[in-house]
Amino acid sequence: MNKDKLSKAIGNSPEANSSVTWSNNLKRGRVPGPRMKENKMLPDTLGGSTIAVHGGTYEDPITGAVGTPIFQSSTFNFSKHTYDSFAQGLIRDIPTYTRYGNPTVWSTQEKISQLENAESTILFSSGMSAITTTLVGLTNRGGHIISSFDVYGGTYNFLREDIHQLGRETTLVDGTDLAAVDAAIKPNTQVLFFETLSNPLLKALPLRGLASLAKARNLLLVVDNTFLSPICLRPLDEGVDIVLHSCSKYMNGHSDLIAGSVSGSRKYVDRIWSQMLKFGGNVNPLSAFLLERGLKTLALRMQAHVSNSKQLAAFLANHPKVTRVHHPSLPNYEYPWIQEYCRNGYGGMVSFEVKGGNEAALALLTHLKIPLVATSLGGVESLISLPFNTSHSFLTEKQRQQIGIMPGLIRLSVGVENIQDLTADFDTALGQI
Amino acid sequence: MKNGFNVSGVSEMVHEFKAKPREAQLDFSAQASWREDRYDLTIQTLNAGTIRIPRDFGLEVRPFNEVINDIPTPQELLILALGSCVLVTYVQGCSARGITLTSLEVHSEGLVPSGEGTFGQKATGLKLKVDIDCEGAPEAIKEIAQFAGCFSPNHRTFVEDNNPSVELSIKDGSSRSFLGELNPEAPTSRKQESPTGGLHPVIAKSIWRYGLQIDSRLESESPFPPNSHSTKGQKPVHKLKVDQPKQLGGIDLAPNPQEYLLAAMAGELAANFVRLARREGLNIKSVSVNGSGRLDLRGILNVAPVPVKMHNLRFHLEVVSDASQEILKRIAGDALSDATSFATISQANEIAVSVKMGGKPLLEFTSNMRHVEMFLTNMREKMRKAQEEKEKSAAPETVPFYKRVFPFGKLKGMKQGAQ
Repeated sequence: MNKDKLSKAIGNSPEANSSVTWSNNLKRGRVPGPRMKENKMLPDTLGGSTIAVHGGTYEDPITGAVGTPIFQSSTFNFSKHTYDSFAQGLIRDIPTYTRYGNPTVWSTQEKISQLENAESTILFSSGMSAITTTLVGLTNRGGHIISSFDVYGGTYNFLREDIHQLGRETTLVDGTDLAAVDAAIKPNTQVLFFETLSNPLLKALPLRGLASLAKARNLLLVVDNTFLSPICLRPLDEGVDIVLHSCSKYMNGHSDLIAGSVSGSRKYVDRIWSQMLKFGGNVNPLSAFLLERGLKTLALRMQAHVSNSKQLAAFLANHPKVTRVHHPSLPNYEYPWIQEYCRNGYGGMVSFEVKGGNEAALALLTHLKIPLVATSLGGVESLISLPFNTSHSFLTEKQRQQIGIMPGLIRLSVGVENIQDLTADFDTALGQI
Repeated sequence: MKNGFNVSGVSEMVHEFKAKPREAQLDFSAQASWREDRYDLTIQTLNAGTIRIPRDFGLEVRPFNEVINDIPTPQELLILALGSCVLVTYVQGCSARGITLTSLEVHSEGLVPSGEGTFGQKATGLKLKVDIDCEGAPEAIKEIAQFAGCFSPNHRTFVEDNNPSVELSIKDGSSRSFLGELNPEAPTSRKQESPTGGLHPVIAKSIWRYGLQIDSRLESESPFPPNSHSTKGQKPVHKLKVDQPKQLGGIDLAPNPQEYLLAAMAGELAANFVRLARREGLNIKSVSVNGSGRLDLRGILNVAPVPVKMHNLRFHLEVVSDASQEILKRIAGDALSDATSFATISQANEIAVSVKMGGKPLLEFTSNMRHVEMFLTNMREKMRKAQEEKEKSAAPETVPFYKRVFPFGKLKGMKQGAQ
């Protein structure tokens, strides 16, 4: 590769040198990326499935390979641009060391940026790494974060057990209650952090209201969009500042990878990147490659997840052994505002309660033939689990009921299998409990 | 990074502020409170453009006429605010020109009133002694020294007239009365009756460590005779750190120079009020002063013709007492009249600047607004001529950056205003 060409293609220098009279003469403004001229850039007019397939792909000028190569290298030859990048402070834009950045990682980041309509993305080694790094990076000692009672267990544990040790405090509220969020804001509040669709009850955020509130009160709105993916919802288009994902779920889609992502404006993503450099938690190039390959079918997979979950939710809602179904497509869904911003469906999650409580729910799992009983979600295969003995086992039964997790609740990640097969499997298994 | 200073970050701010001026506005605030014989200063959340930056800092201060080692006075903080701000401006100026610093110290000095009969006078004899060791050319450092006088916000606050507003409210039991704005009175006969004080030198040594981190030593001579206080005339030395929030290039280690300035003014007003109320035997439960001020980073970075200095300086004095409102208002007015920091900031000052490079004298000048304006006029003229020369010899228009990097044209992200 022509290093000089490459280096000139990415980043721009402030050109801090003797020709500068004062800081106003510095040249660098923020640009999207980091990206290289070899990364495929697509116009806004193209659909999500086209972007998922082609966006960001590294088009190798030497071989013409149709896919992004794996730059399985921890370090890169220094050039004068590398030295300049250290002196001028633009090391995020120059291939130097894979913890800082890597062409394969950048390509996958660029694909996600295009899917999210973001200026910049960072990949992490896990969703939790993305969450912890973001929350620390965007806050200061003495800061305050508002989040939700029923946030993902890993996030909850971080907010409850660790973040106060870093000098930040947290208030947990019902994220669907705008007035409660507003009331929790204090002079030192910096970040509102919520999940766009909650786990496991699929409560939808009043996203536009939260975005307006955050803007009016000078707060950053950070959302975890893992359950919906950018195919169903692009939170940045709705006024959110930062969107993050556990890419281990829908983004990768094959239950064979652990990764996370953070997307938003270059200004805030750079700040999170700077925190990542110190915390570690970067993704490795092979994982980035796998993620990019998975992302190519994101739109296609999401269509199947959305269709299957909607049909299965309707089936379950009419089944005599099922007492309640939580799904945004159903008429009794309590958070109608989701229809304002989710125009391509509501992901592939369905939660439902069966007659007979947890005992009956456990029995159902043993009778199902297709869904696998396992944690996680968003893979091509259906996965099923019970919150009471997995994600929410750290709560007492009373606490679980307070947040709406009733006995017999089952969380189902609907895969892309044949819907008739899935429906028949559930019909048979429900008949056996 | 140059000198531990993120030049790219500053460059990005320059371009961001051109497009989004609101992001350049920083609203600082600091609170001084007196309760149970203790004076505490807390730095409060900084509103920086469209985000909030909590500032988790507190420090104890003492009135100027009480000598306690390890606890600085508001007047010392005032002098520190001047010198540390100038040091930050040198680091910024050197880093923007690619100059690597070896060492940098800025000593700020002033004579402040130290007792009855002198309270209320402004600080005099203001000096800045800069000692720099770096790889830069002497001519470049001379220019940076002049720019520091123009673009250090606290320096500009000292050399310009200011009109800080002060409001008073009284809390009596559960009721609260807002008594309006205070006006400092001219020195009254009260101050001439028993003059015990003189002018007392205060020295703040700001020593650059790395990036925007500064170690400071306040080395004031005790104005009081040996054995007159518990510290028996020891020379108080106070060590404080100065830094910036991480969003502004620092590491959140300590308050920044603007916060020290507000803390000094709020702290002195609170201390004066308590001293005068005690002298009259009033029952005061608590006193707090909240000070706030705005900085527009476009001024410091020379991005737009906006104030460089701290402006919108506002102070709110709140007293919890069952004493009469009339007496409390009179005492509040006297406390303001006695405040050296307010007197100093309200009237334009001259500052004697001397710069050494590598231990050798490089430059001396008296900084005042006339000097600042003259230097800026000369620089503008110099830059205008340089621009004319450049245009005369300019090559055909170059391809815009984004077209070189992104041959497909402007892309999303760019259209939504990446700066």
